[in-house]
Amino acid sequence: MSRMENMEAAQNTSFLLQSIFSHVTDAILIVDKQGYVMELNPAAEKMTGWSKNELIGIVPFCEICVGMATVTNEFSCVNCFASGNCPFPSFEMKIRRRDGKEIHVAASSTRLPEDQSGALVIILRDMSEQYYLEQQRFRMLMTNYVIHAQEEERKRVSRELHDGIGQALYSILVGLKVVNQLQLDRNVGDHLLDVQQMTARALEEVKSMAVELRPSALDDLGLLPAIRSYMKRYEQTFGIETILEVTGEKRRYSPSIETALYRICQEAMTNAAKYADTDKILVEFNSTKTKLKLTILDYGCGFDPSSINIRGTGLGLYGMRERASLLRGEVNISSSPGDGTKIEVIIPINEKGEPIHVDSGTCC
Amino acid sequence: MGSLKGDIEVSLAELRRLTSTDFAALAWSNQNEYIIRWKYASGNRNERYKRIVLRPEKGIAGKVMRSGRPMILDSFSPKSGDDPREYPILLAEGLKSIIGMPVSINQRVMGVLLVGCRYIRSFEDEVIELVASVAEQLGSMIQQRKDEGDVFFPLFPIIRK
Repeated sequence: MSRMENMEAAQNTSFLLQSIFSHVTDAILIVDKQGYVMELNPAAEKMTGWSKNELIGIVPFCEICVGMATVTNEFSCVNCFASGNCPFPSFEMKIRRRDGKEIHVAASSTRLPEDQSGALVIILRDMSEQYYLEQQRFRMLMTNYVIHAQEEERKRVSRELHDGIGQALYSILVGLKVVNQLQLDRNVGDHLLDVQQMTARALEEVKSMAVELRPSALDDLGLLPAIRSYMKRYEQTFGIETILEVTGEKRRYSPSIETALYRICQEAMTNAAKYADTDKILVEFNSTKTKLKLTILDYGCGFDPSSINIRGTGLGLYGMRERASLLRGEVNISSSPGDGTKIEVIIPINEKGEPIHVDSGTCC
Repeated sequence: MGSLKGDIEVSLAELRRLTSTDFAALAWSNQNEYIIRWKYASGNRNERYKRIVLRPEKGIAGKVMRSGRPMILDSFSPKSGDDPREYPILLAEGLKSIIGMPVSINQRVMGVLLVGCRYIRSFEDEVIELVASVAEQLGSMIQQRKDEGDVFFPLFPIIRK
């Protein structure tokens, strides 16, 4: 190859490299040994919000870098990659844009050889969307974990109350009845009767606490019997008339669905009792092969859904949405002042009555 | 003298007029079923009070019965995080201010006399005293007719101190 051709080839390569530098979607920054930015590509200008002229030789890279992600910190300067102590070639870090906004990026850094300027080449890739998704996924996992743990604990305590203390009280009651059949002094007999009544009351109390924590009907008999008996208790608690209308096939569903729908129904009805000022509530349950629909409808004062935080924290509604979304379902709330409130929950299911599109990693 | 129900209802209406309140009611405990119910009312805006069945120590009536002391609220509104099962009668009648007075028979608290308004009101001492004296009158009236119905058996062995 002639010298001319060599030069041409070198020129071509250099042209190609220049073209890659200006068109690649990753941001590339070159930082000199003093820590100032000496060159950056258009993608880097776009990512950081700084223009070439404002940056080169003026702004130290530390102004842009917030820090690297480590095990303990979301961003840290320990083992800074620029110091040469970084044990890995690529890492996650956070940068601060010119407008002050901080974004998550994946980064890699390369130190050029000493005889070729010794500059640091940093390549950044915007990961904020992935970071957001990961956070969402993690949050969902935690929510699910918390809900699951709470439900299990309630189940355990409920059983303990019912089978342990409840059973013990029942035995005491039977024992007292036996004793009271003996020939006793009238005073003693009356007193024993009092104790018997107190025991019976305590037994009732324990039983109702167990049911309120988590009705065993939910596990033993299924969603609809559990809702039905909740509605009966609700009617006696608040004096609000309740109607349950069931359409479609009646069957059992997976425990995660039954629990979620029971809790959502409970929350919606409690909200209605507390805020709706209604004397009637209608609960509709519709089951098809592909989805379940639960509607809770009150005839009360309603509210403006756009200003929901006026009464209450909105946490109850958040909880309902969370429970439904874990099962890839949705909660729709429609209400207007003076016109009652309708809460509609839809959960997609498969033919076995299980939730669909649910990753086993994010659901119990 | 008319029927007990009639007499109590007349007393409640009269009490409501004298205290200028919107609602007056008497809750009574039922020993056999361990429950408390609002048996009589005046000024009610719906029938919800009739359906309310309180377990012992629940609700306003339960609390007054347990403590044996009057309960006075000047401005009530449901707060987020509190349990609405603690005050169903206030929700049912939309009450914002109430006086709950224990009613005793043979020094056992057997019922609760409630008067309330659907607006915020701080009750004057005279009003509270009036409710207390009506509660006492109702107690002795019911005691006099102890044999007439099923409502007079004690549920709680609570002695007023």
